[in-house]
Parts: sequence; C-alpha cells; structure tokens
Amino acid sequence: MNDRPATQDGGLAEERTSLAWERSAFSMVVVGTLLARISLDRGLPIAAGAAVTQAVLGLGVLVWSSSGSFDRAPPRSEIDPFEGPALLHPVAAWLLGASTTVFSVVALLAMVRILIGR
Amino acid sequence: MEDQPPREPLLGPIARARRRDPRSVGEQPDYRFSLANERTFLAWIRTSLALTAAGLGVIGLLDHIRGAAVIGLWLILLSVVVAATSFRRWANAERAIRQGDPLPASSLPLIVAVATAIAGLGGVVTVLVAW
Repeated sequence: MNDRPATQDGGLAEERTSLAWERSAFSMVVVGTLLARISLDRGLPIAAGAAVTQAVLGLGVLVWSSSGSFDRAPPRSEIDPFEGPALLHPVAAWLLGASTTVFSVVALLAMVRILIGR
Repeated sequence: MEDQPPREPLLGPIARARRRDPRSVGEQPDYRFSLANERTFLAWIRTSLALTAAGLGVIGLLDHIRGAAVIGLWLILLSVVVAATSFRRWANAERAIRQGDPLPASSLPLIVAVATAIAGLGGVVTVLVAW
C-alpha cells in the first residue's frame, strides 16, 4: 500500500482529518456547555466564563473546519506525489493543546470548589 | 539582521511552540503521515475532553454515593495530564516522521490505561459499597 502514489488515495486522508476536526470541535462545544451549566448552577461565574469560552472556541473550530477555507488539498502534482496539504501549524496545535489543558484545570478547580462547599 | 538572536517576546509559550516548529527539521514526508499524526493529536484532545466530561458526570450525577467525588477528580486530573502532553507528542512525532526516525516511545498510553482501570475498579467498589 505504501508504494502506491499518494495521488491515488482520492483525498480520503484529508476527509478523515477534516472529520476528526469536526468531532473534536463538537466535543469542545458539548463539554464546554456541560461545565458552563454546572458552574452557573453552583454560582461559579469565572469557571462558567472559561467554559463558555471553550464552547465558543469549539464553535469557531467547527465553522472553520466545515468551511471551504479548510480545503487543504492543493492540486496534486503528478511529478511529486508527496506534495499535499500543509502541515498543521505548530502555533495552532499549541493553542488547541493549551486551551484544552486550561479547560481541564478549570474543571478540576471548579469541582474541588463545589466539593469543598458541599 | 538575520543573525540576531530571536527576541524573547511577550507571548513566550507561543514563541517556543514556533521555535519547536517540526517543519524546521528533516524533509517533507508523504503528507498522509502528517495527517495521520494530526488525527492522533486530535484523538488525544478528545480523550482529554471525554475524561473531563466523565469526571463532571461522576461528580454531578453520583453525588449521593460516597467516594464518587474522588473518582471524578481522578478522571479530571488524568484529563489535565493528557491535554498538557498532547502538543509535545504531536511535535515530537512530526519531527521523527520528517527525519525518518522511529516514533518516540511514550509511557502515556500505559499511564492512561492504568489510571482508567483504577477509576473503573474504584467505580465498581464504590457502587458495591453504596449498595
């Protein structure tokens, strides 16, 4: 399979990757909304704000990944089968990792706060 | 101009991410490998989010069961670890792919498996005790 030129994969790798972005964005929206709801119920506005931010970020990723600007496959070159979509920008990857980390920490702190108050 | 060392800007971490740019080493691989690496990164991000959701669910829904809170906090703690290591994993894998090196070994899958198993066992014990 590896000796088959990249030009013959019909763009399935791009499609899988695009779907992975959409799933991730959905997860961000759902989990962000969940924490926002819990935090608002328990009177934790800062945690709720952070959670809403995460959900909005997820919406942004969702719009971006399902928009035409996400079309990452440039015209394939017959000469160079390795020519393909650009590598995920390291700063974008870092921001996604960082925002998910911050979100998890906020969730942890909010839960500790709720459990202490219980 | 170009031989001046890069200035340490206000956005330090972002600048560091830029300096660790995997594109600076090796050569352009078959792009499908890079896309697979990107999907793996996203899968870890979703794993972290799922662990957070599970932790929130355990704490929120099982608040009448003693010990459930510990399991919930444990899961969310695990989600912090997974999210915090995700970027480094992606960048290291990308660099290895570009240089033709073997993928870097990682103990994170083992850690996640063991920690999840502990949470599961803890859940069983907690429910049985509460019964």
